[in-house]
Amino acid sequence: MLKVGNIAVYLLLSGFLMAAYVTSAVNIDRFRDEMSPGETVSTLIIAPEALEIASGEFRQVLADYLLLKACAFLGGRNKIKGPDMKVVAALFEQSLHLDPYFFQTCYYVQAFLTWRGAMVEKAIDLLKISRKHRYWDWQPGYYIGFDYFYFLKDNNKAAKQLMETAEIPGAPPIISSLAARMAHKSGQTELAIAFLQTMYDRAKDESTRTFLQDRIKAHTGILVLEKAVRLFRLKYGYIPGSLDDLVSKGIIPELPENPYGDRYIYEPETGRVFFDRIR
Amino acid sequence: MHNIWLLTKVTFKQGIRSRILAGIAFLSALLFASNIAITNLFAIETGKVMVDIGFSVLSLAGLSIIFFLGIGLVSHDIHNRTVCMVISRPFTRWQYILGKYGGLTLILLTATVILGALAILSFFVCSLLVPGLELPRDFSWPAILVTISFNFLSLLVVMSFAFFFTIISSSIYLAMLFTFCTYFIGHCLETIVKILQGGHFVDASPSLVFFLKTISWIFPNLSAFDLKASMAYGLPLDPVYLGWTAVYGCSYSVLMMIFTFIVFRRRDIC
Repeated sequence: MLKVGNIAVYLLLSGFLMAAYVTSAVNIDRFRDEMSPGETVSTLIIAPEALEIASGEFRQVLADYLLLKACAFLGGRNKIKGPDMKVVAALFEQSLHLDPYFFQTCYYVQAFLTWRGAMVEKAIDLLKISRKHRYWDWQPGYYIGFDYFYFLKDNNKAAKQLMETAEIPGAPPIISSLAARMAHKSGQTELAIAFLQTMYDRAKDESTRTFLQDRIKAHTGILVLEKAVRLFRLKYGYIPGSLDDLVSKGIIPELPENPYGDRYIYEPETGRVFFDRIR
Repeated sequence: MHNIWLLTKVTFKQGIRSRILAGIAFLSALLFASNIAITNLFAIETGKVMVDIGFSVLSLAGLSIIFFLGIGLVSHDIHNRTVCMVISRPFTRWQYILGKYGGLTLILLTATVILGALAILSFFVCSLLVPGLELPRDFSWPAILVTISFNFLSLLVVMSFAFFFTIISSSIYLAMLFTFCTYFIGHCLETIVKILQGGHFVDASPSLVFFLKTISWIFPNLSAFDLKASMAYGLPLDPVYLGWTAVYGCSYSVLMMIFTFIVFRRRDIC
């Protein structure tokens, strides 16, 4: 039997412990709220290969977790600083090494590392991992081509990437036309035509064939006109002021037909010819 | 044969009645249920996340059964001398080994069937509750069954060396530690050798690579049984590869059982 004195001691002790527990829990909550743990992002500074070794058969789940961690930070209302973006890039890299097939990682790499992180080269390196593994998917290759064109202004590499991507079954015909456009912009109009011709020969549905046929015609017109401009320059020592000069000076009998408009667009400063106003 | 079947039945009943199994089943059911919540956190290729979680829970539950139930049952028999009561009767030692392994295999098979059904149920519930869920590329039920079967085969291999370590070691913890190390090596050795041979990460000496390749003949290549990525992304499964992997798993398990029997025959237990 417990004595009354002992019961009082137990009650007092229990009350004291309960009060300590409640007070400490309330204070912890208050401090944790002020800390805003979502303001920074962190990752283990560990090589992706080491993570691959350590995670074994649970690598896909770990990849999902790392991606989720990066996305939770990026999706929060945080002011993203330079070092944070490097951590996010490291998380993407680790996630991609663990699961190189996951499209969501590839998508976020393109969305955040290039536009918000200004880490275009890093993004391209990571996108190449996705492109290698997702051999059925045209999107990673398209992103790489876009990054070379838009951010790095490297039309030659953009054309090469897009040409490879256009050959993936299911790639939309616009990729072929973009690849040809990049090839033309990098001064490889003949390559653009040859590539479009290959894609035309492979195309099965009629709308794609019509679309590619128009592109081939447009690029062939450009090739004819640019060759004529070079010939004009050789003959007269200066580049023509307009495309009409090519006809009036007898370099070509008539201007080729542009399938997308009235006339080809000519830049007298550079001697370049375009079939539309998009640059 | 009758004796083996008798021991198999006893082990199976012993395992099924265990509270550990109930705990593992409860935890797995909770994890399967969490699949819906976790899949909802992703935006693209959600079907892949659903498959990842489902099959990872299946693997985790199978491993828990081996580590906490399988090793425990055999270790309890040996260290509490219960095994002496069995082998003093008209049971030979190899009958004991086969009977115990058969019982544990039956437990694993039952668990895999039930958990596999729960995993499929979680996929079905996910497809109803997760808005805009995209099923994995080239999703097929036969591919799911193949993935579950190879997961079971991988667990049989793990159980065969868990059995071996339980018989040779003096403590349950040592058996668990050895089994875990072998499981870990079995999953990562192939990756390590590939990384070293690739030469991108570290400059490894040829003798080290040779050593690792040599020990890869001893440790099982458990990553070969892991078809989760193939299932999640609809990657083609070569039937010849699957056939050889099945032969590899079965032959490794049988060899381990033979080694276990050789050690057990020489061991002074009673």
